[in-house]
Amino acid sequence: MGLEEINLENADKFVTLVDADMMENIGRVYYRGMALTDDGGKPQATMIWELIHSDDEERDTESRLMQLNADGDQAKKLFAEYKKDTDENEIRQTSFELACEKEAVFSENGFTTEMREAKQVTVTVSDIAKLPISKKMKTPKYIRDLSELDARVFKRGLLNCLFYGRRETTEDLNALPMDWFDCDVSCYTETDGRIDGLLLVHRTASGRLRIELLINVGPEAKKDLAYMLNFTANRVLEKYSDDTEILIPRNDVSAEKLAAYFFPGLKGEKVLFGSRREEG
Amino acid sequence: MTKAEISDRKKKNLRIMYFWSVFSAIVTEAFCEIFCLLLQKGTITVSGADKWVLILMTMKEAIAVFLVRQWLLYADYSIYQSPDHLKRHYKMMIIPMAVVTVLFICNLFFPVYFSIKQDLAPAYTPFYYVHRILVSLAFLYPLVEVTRHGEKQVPDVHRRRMILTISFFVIVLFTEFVSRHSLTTISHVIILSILFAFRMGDRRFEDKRSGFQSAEYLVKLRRENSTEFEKRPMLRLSAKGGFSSLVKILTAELPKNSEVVRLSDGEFLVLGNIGDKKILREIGEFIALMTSEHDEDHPEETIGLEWKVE
Repeated sequence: MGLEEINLENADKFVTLVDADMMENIGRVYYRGMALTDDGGKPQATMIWELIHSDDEERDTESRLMQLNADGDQAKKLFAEYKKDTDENEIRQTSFELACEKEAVFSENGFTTEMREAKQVTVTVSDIAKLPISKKMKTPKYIRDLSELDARVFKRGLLNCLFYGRRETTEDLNALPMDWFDCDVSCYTETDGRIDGLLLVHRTASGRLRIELLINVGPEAKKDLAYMLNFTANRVLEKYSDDTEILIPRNDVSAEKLAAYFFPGLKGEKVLFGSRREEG
Repeated sequence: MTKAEISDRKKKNLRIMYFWSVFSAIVTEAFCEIFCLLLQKGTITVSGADKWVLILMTMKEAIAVFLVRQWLLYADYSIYQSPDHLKRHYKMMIIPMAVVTVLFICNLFFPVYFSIKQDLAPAYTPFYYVHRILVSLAFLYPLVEVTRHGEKQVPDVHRRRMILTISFFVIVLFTEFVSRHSLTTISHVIILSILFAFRMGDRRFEDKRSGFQSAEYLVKLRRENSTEFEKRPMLRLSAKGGFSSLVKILTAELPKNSEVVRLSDGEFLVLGNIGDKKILREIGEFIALMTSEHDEDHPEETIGLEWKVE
């Protein structure tokens, strides 16, 4: 048995164990992956995690397990190796929110677990079609899709939005290239020649759509947010089939409120949540 | 003239234009009201006095609407500092203003708002009261906006003073309806004087050379809340040369309405929000990238930027 770091060079080797949506994150700044291989180098178990607040001097670095494909002893070996990474990166806490039934595996490795509603909710394009906003509202001209932007203007706009709007966003949002997002569906608002609103949608490798950022710091933020959602909803309806899934992360209070506003009563699926403190 | 200076001049011109249009509207409104009173009291006698009173009163009400419109545009620009937002706001007002103008013209021939009785006193229609309430609400709207947003968007305008102004206006309006005496002009004069005295969109601490804030702005922030000030992260930018190029880059690339302070010729501070060091670092990296590109393109006038987040 051997341990191997999953990186861009060897990622192909692990496609049977790591799902496509997770695999596309390999190579991103804050994502880490590790695999257990047999003597012939064949992958046996994998683990993917993401570092959170690692660049933030005022908060403890945390880690979020994104995927664990291991049982019993395999998991123990992976967690033992993972411990080295937590020491190296001064990780103070590890948590996860996974749709799996491996409670025992996590409990054996020191996690406190419970079943709870997932932060992320999933709707389909056909659910979007039923929303009243997508039918009548006329989108103003200052809302456009990302395909009209160049990378530098996009970066400046992202900084402008994140400077004023505090959001629990993806850690490396600023480092992601513009084409990470679906440029036909994602949109922005512009006031006085500066981007002050962004709705960024990423199309995952499996073909699902995930809202990565929804923010507006302009003078009429509330109104423009509604216009932006309307714009994107119409584009999604034009471009994708009815059964395409849309993932809406509810990372903060405003995202929760927004999801509840458009999809009242919509619940996330039951997932296994767990956390453990990492000793320094 | 740098881009920052041109943009700054445009901004000043807009503010000055709206300020003077509000001011001249008040003067004209007062003139109409005084002349009307003199006619009603019989101090001045002219033939067809009822027609003159009707014209003057209609003019006064029309000017009051124009004043509120200009006031809304002035307040919009003072609050949001955004020409684009101002344009959208301006467009929104075109149709209501056209309708109101037509109604005022009609009032000269039919009693839409009021008619003039034998004793030269006005007989108001119910529609007049609806109109007055709507115009008053429009007048109050920017005050409520400023109160809601607080000092964050309009420095030096304090919420408590705004609430007092709004209360004062409501009392005046109430008195006006109860006494059936027009206090429009006097209330406009008093309220706008108070507001201008509050220095909406204060420019006292502006650094004339760069268009950013001067070092005294830091003293003001520290004086207001030293604990909060100490906690705020800051991006320090030090340039060896290329002052005007750096100002251009900062004006174009920094987030809008950033709090930027010029400490000395080539030294600037960008103030961040408490707990947001990460975004300041990213801004620093981005500005450094822009300046290094500039230095490559203009070797004769390099900026040589150094930066750090404190």
